[in-house]
Amino acid sequence: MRGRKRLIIIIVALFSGLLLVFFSSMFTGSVKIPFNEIFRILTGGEADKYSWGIIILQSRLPQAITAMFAGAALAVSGLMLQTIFRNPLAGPSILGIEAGASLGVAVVMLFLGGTIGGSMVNITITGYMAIVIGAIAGAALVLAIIILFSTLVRSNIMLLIIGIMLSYITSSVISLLNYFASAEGVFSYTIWGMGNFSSVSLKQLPLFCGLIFVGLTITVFLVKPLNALLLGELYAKNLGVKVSRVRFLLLLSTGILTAVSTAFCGPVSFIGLAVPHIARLFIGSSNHKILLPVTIFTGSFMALLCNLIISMPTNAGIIPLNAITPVFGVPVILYVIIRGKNFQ
Amino acid sequence: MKQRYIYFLIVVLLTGGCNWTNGNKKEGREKEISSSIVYARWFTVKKGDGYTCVNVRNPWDTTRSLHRYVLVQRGMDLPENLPEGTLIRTPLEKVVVYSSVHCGIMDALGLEKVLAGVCESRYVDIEFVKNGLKNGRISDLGEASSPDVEKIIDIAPDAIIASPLENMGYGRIEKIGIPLIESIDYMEVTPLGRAEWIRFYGLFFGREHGADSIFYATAHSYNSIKEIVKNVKFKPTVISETKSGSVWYIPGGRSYMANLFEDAGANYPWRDNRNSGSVPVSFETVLEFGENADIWVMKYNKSKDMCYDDLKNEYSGYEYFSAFKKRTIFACNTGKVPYYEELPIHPDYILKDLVWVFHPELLTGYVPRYYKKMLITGNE
Repeated sequence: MRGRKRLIIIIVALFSGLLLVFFSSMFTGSVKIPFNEIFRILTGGEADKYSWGIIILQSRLPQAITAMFAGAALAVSGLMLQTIFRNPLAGPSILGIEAGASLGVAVVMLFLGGTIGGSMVNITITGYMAIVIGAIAGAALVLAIIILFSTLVRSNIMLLIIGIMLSYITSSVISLLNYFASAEGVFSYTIWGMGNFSSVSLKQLPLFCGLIFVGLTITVFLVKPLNALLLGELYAKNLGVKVSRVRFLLLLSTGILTAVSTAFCGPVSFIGLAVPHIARLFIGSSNHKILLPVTIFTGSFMALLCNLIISMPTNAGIIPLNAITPVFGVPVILYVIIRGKNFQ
Repeated sequence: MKQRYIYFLIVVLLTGGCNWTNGNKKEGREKEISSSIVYARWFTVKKGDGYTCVNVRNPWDTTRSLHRYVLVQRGMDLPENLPEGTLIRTPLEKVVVYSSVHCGIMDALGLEKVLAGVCESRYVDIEFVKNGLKNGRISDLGEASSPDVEKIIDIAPDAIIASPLENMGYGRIEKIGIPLIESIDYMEVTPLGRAEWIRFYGLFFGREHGADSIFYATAHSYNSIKEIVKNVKFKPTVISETKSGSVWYIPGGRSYMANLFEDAGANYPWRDNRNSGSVPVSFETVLEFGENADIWVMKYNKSKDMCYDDLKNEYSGYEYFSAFKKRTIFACNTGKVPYYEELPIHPDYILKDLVWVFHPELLTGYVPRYYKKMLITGNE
């Protein structure tokens, strides 16, 4: 009973925290907009100044929603991978899916000059959507290779090693592409690599959120088998869990979550790695039934908090996202390593 | 007795005064030569007896000097009492350079035979360099951040022309005993200041007069274009560049670009900003200050020229700018025109383009070199 009470407190606290940072991010930015104006804009009214309406509705609102969904996606994919690989340092980047997305983006930005298509096909896609498509294609390719290997090798450790090896290969291709690219191409690729929640427009939001919702839904069905897997693969098999099917669904869902968030927001570091640990510290349990929703909320909260910090007006201008995420991520990881015993 | 004292005092004062004026004259002579550098801020030249002293100031710590070079003509005996500094025998007969900008300067000064190696050759779009690389007369030295030291030792150049970054060393290159010519021309914030650096290179290659005449022609042309817009009544407001990732790098209020905008008769909303480089700001800041800007100029490097829809696809927030709605965006596709190659020597070309952008009525019939009106649709 006490545990339940604690859980309710945690969920209520997280939810209010989430609302608080969400609304704070509406009020925070380099342009000062009066409180009542923001309220009027958010409730569908006209602002005194045309630009304020656009800043809130086209810039701050989509950015905050993007941060929420991306944070949840990365945190859940980190949680799934940490459980299946029984490794506290597993994260969305561990299977090479993020590296695959980066490779796709590098090909589009550095090799194709930012445009997909051309004279061969009738459609040409440029700009941001070209980058998103490149990233998803790259991530899907790596995911397909991983799933193929997962049917060949039984050991999860082997799968982990294969993922890491794939990351190495993709990074070497990326360095080569960088070497031959134009200076502007290298610059935009570097900027992409710093992560950012601000590129998804209001129009693209339904697509982005929809894809992440699909990924998150799959993980809901994995709660039970994942709990069984915590006790070991053999034990899970005895309980009637079809390990290979679970593994496939898990790879698919984490693949979708990582690919979509990386495609739209760039490689965001540390959230996927650190948030599951924070969630475990909160609830003091590894039961996925509770851990999954708490991880989702914590992930959204952390991403929004980072987004809030980078949006704060400073004299130096804007700080890149990946300069902030490790500030929260690293202390958590260190704590986990020092405590050591408390994973599982 | 008193009178004697007064007489003595007058004599002392007079002679002292004379000495003082003499000293002033002497210094004045040196100053006369050093003050011939008109616009460049980061180097000074002083001529001594049988030598020339070139001092490169440190833009990151203005109280210190970055490097001092003492130039003595080849074959001449070294004068006594040479000032301290890196001794360079001029003219240099074989050099390697780090960037395409310096290849452009070699080209302008007619030093095709002197260039023996270049870094990052893929960015160089100059005919003689490309030919030289093809037939092996010019070596490709790899990345400027870590050039191929063995090749440089093998070439044995008289000097290496490099562009330093703040607090970054040159690595092993510093230790092979070949003089490094530290060029910080890119730190100059006025267009003519940067263009004047050709005179710096002219000194090292014995092309002083050639460099002077190139520079004076540029300065004359620049100033006469500036004169055209001197009396314009309306100065359009201009914003520039686009968002990359979460930031929008705008030129600082004291930057090269901000100076160009001013000289071309435009009003730049961030002129009060004290930064001389680029400043990363958020989309909302640019929208707040530049929503009603009359004109938007940008540079990009794409295989195909962009149209308004392409721009909107890149980030939908762009369409809320008045310049987007009124179709007054001007763009320069640096992948197709030699913008960056010509900018260091010919800011006058860019100024003329910008005057055409801001005040087309003053340059009727002018065909711009770099900037074009952004295409309305992709099918144009």
